[in-house]
Amino acid sequence: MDIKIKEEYCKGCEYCIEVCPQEIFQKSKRYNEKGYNVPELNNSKSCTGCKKCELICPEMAITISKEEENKKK
Amino acid sequence: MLKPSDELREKYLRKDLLPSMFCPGCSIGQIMNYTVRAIDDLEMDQDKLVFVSGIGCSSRLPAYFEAYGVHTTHGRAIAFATGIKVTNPDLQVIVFTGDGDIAAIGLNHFLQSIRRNIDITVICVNNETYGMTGGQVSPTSPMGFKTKTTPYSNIEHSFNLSFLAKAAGAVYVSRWTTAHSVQAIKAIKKGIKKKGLAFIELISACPTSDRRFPEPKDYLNYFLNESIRYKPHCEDELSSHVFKNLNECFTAQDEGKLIVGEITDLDKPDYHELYKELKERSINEFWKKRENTD
Ligand SMILES: Cc1ncc(C[n+]2csc(CCOP(=O)(O)OP(=O)(O)O)c2C)c(N)n1
Ligand code: SF4
Ligand SMILES: [Mg+2]
Repeated sequence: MDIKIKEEYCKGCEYCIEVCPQEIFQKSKRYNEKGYNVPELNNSKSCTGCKKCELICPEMAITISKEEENKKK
Repeated sequence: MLKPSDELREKYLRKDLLPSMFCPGCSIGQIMNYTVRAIDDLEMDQDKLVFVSGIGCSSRLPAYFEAYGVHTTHGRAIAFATGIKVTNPDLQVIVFTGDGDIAAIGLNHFLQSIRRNIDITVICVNNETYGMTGGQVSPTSPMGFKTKTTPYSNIEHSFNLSFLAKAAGAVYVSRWTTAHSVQAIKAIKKGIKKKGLAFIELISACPTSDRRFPEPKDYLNYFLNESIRYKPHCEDELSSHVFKNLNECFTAQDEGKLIVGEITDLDKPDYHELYKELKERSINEFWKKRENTD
C-alpha cells in the first residue's frame, strides 16, 4: 500500500497514530511550516489498506492507495 | 473500496481554504470528511446541493464545500433551510449546526421543522459546549461538568437531542460519535436519502475550548471506549449521558456511557408533497366554486 500524508495540511492531532491497528504512524521530531508536529511512517509495508487513518483524519490529509494503481498513472 | 482523500478533496472542497480553520483534533474536520464521502457515494449533483448553517465553529462548514452555501445568523439555520426547501424542493438541503445553535437559541426552529417534516438533513456537531465563544455551558453539557461559565460544575440537566427529535416525530434519527467514521457516513447517506426531516447527531470533540481531556486523542479513545449501542426498547432516555432509572436494557455499568446508534427510521408524508397536493386541490375547489356562482 502507498501511504501519502499531505504534510502542509497536518495539524498533529495524532488521530492516525491512535487508530492504526498496525501501528504504522508514529510521532516524529519534524514540524511543518505552520509548526505542527507531523507523524512519520514506520514499517509501512505492513499496511493492510483498512483506511481507518484516512477516514479519521480531520483534514483529509492522508491518502492510502494500492501501489499498482499509482504505477499505472 | 473507499475513494482516496486526494481525489475527493479535489472534487468537493475549496482548496484555497485548506487546511481548515478548525483547531488541531477538532471533530468538525472529521464531519467534513464524512459528509464529503457521503455525497460522493450518493453521486449527488453539486449544483443542486445547498449547505445551510447558523453561527459557531460548526457553522463554518458550508464554506469549505464546492456547492451552494448559506451562512446565516445564530440559531436560524433551519428557518433559512425551510425557506429554501419550500421555495425550491428540487434542491438538496443539508444543515450544519452546533449544539448551541440548535439546542439553545434555535431550539424552537428545530422542533417546528420536525413537526412540519421539512425534507432537509440536519447534521448536528454536538461538542457539548459553545466552542467558538470559548467553552461556555450549553444545553447539552453534561450535569456535573466544569465549563468556563460553570467553574464549580454544571447543575443543569442536559438535553439529549436525538431523543428530543424522536419525541417530536422525526422520521430519521441517528446518533454517533465522530470516532465512528463508517457508521457516521452511513447515517449521513441514509439521512440525505430519507424523505422528510433527518437528524444526525455526532458527538464531537472540542479540544480547545472544552478541555475535558488534555489531548485530542483522549477524546477519540473516550468515544470508542465509552459508547454503547442504543436498543430500541429502552424507555428511559433522559439525558445524553446518564440514565436515571436504569431498566433491563442498561446495567449499572452503563451509567455515564454515550448511547449511539440508529434511533428512529419511519415513514410519513413530508411537507412538500402535502403542500403540492393542497395547492392542486384548493385551485380546483376555487374554480369549481366560481363556476357555480357564475
Ligand atoms: C444572536 C447571537 N447570540 C449570541 C452569539 C454569540 N455566539 C457565537 S457562536 C455561539 C455559540 C456556538 O456554539 P455551538 O452552536 O455549539 O457551535 P460550536 O462553536 O460549538 O461548534 C454564540 C453564543 C451570536 N453570534 N449571535
Ligand atoms: S474552538 Fe472547539 S469547536 Fe471551535 S474549531 Fe476549535 S476545537 Fe473546534
Ligand atoms: Mg458546540
